[in-house]
Amino acid sequence: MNQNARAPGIAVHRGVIAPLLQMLQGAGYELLQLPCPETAFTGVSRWWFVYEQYDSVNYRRHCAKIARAVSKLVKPYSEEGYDIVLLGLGMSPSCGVRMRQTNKQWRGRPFDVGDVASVEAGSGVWIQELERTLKREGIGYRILDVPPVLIYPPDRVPASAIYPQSEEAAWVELKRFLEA
Amino acid sequence: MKDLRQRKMVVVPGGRLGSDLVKGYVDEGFGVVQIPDLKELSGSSADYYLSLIADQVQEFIKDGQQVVVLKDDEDRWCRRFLSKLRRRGLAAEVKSVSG
Repeated sequence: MNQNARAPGIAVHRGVIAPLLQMLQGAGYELLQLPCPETAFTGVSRWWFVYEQYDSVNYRRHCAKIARAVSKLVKPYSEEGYDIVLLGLGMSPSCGVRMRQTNKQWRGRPFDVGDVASVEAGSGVWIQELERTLKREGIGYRILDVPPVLIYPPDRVPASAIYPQSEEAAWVELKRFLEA
Repeated sequence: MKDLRQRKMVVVPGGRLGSDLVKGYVDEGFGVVQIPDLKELSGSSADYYLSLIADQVQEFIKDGQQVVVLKDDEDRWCRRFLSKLRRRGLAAEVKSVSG
């Protein structure tokens, strides 16, 4: 919904991922944009981060507080039997669902990390805190992250069977998920 | 590596998200920040949520990005959001969409 909230240097859409917005609206979904916990916590001039850097007590506390508010917004829909869908951002250290960027060496003096992303299976910090809260509140939902091929420059897309590797396959996956 | 962001965004009262006006902004490359309907939240939680959105907008403005706020006088969350921006001394471009 807002590419300006992403860490600098990796936006492959101008402002909104317009085809995704159209797909969601076309499928009849009402949208609730979740606040970007990274922007609110570290601002927009942040470096690229990995999971290990966001996996801190204070960032988790920040995410958990947002998650509690979000759960209150979502709960009435859950109680009415709505199909609640969470969409994360593939590979994000905060918003990834299936994979997240990782690197245990990223610390201290800044250095050129290159374009190739180091990833591992697992969700990001924000998604972990959000899912924990939704489960505790008994809120049912389905979850998927937008495949990296749709939101990262080609060099940063991991060659992994976990995600679709072509844009076409990624849109098919999203469409099937939303229409399930 | 080329970054395509346009460094401009529009803040939208929740009910206006699907409107032609917002679609026009999206077509022009604006990002979207939504002010949702917060009626399910207690007073302090709603205040916290609006502050969180204002925190982000403050970061964008500090970074020199263009921020347009669609002002709907009938939307109480939009009114409260704008008063938060004013109290923080933040200068966003405000466009009235009331009526």
